[in-house]
Amino acid sequence: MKKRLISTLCALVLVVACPLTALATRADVNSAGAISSDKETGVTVYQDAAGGIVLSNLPVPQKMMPGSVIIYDDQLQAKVIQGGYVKDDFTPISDTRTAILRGLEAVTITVDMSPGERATAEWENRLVNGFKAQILKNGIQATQPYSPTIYPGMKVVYDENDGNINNIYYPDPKEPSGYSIHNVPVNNNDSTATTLTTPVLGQPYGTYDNVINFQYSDDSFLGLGRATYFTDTYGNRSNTLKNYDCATQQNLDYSKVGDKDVSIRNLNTNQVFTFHQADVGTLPDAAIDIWGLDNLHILAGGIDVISVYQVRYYHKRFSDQPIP
Amino acid sequence: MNRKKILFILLGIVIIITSALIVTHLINLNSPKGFREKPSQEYLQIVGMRFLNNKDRLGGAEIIFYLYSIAQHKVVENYTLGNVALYPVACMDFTHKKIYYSGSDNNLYDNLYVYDIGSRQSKQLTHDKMLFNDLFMIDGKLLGNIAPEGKTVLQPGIIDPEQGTVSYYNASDDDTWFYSLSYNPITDKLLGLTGSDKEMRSSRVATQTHIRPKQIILMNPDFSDAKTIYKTEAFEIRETRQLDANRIVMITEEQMGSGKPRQLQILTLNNDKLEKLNIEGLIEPQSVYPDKNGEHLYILGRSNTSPLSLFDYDIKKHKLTDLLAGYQFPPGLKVVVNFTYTSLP
Repeated sequence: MKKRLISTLCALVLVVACPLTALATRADVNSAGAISSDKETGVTVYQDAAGGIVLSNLPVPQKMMPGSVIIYDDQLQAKVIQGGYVKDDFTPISDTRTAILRGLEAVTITVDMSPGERATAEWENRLVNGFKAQILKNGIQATQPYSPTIYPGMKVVYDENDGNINNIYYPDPKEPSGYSIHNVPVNNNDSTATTLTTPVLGQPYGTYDNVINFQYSDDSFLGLGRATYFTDTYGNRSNTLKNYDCATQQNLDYSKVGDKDVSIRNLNTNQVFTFHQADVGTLPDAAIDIWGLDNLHILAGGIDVISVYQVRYYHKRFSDQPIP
Repeated sequence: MNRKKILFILLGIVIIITSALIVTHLINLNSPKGFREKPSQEYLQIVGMRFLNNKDRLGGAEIIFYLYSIAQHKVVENYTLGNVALYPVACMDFTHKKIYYSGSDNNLYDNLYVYDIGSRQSKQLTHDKMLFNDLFMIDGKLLGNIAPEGKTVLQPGIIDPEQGTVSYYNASDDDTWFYSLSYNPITDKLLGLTGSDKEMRSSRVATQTHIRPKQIILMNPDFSDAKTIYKTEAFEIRETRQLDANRIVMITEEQMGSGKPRQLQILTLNNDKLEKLNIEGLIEPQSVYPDKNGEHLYILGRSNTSPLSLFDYDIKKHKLTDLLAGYQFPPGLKVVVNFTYTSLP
């Protein structure tokens, strides 16, 4: 009886889904490429580049119930391990241009600064002012959701406070937990993986208007946006992760040596911290990822948060990084 | 002129020439090693990296080794060695026509490999999960600055390529970083720049001083007789090299994350005097090596004409020359990562 009921339900799903697919036309496609979606089941109808209609639950939801965790199966269907779906509107926390320009305020140089502090502040100001001038001259586009490639086994963790996407972990047999932020499958020809977007230097991504820029005149990177935390045991060079370690965004600021220090300024407290680049991750809605919640609390200056907005980080180009 | 007189003059000339030859020979015999008249055998061993997807490191990378002849003012040999997962280092064994390098077959971690120049074949020598930072030879012995599996810090190690084993400076110490390690053939000493990992991660350093306390250590090539010759936490030191027995050339900056370009400083040991070395045209050094006579500095860095190149700075003439200007790198090469100076005996 039970089996018959399941078969009937499956048939019903097929009957409903087929006309939905057939009815979808190019005119229905909205700006994000979606035709329609069922938020309760997570099923979204997409039109691919060749004009075909794809039924999937892609892309990765940008928002879920606070504290949600989803894991993708071999068919790339998201399984809700914890929490649940909510209406999945991508809503930046504020106007992108305003948010970024606010985050690019120069540091006030004061007479009581040590020569080292002064040098750091002057450099930070050069990076900030350079990027600001670039935005004022050329403008900046509105932030876009960053929808990373989905792989079997990928785990997505959502913020316990606001439900925004917090971090993405990939199966990693070397990790005690079985997951790490850096073990992104390297086989880009994997037929089960679908690349949706890739972040670009100087262009904002994610709800928190994250943006990473490279300034040629200073041979340096500057990132702005949100800091999240991650819990790997080992970094992307089999290094044991420790206090004041951090991960940078793998598409824009990748390194396997991390041989330049990373300064992170909490723009709420105006305090600067020296961190060490020891890992990379997808960072779907963050500019920088801090190892361990305790270290994030140190950066935040409090224990009631699990991410910090707004921070900016900067470092000289690591020696194994190409000049972009 | 009579016959006797001519014979006498000729005999005199023969005696003068013979004496001159004998004196020259005696001078050569008594000259110190390395100063006899013979063609200069100084080289820069340059390590570059090419990204396999011609874009970034995500698709993997391979090491390219360039041998630059200082006498010939050009790259005389180059070899594509193999894939590297972490940090590329390489050094040539001139005697056996081999190149040792950090290689990988999995894009996850590195091991020591050897490339045979004759057969163009590579062979894996160690079977660990290693991170290399320096690799060089001293009198036929291979030394590296290495973090083996499970270790955080880099430590000097003497490598036995036949056995695939490494004897570390202090195998049980996972706190003391060797940020820089080099050898000077004139003093026959290793120079190390060290610091504590624990101190580096202290709240005081991470949030207040932003300067890691550092020590400069001098020791024999077998790691014996290690002596601390300088300590400071007044500024950041990134790299140290012996200019001669009494002077150290250092790459420094005011603090971690300081935006000012790194600079060269000369430390005189007998009076702890620090002197900035400003080089016209050089914006920022990344790595430096003095030549054996302390007359030239070879500098990998950024100049006002090149975002990254290798330079020769003539200390006496105050002249900076871009050694790689106009050199056509293989397609896809993105980064020259490091180099070492070698003077063959």
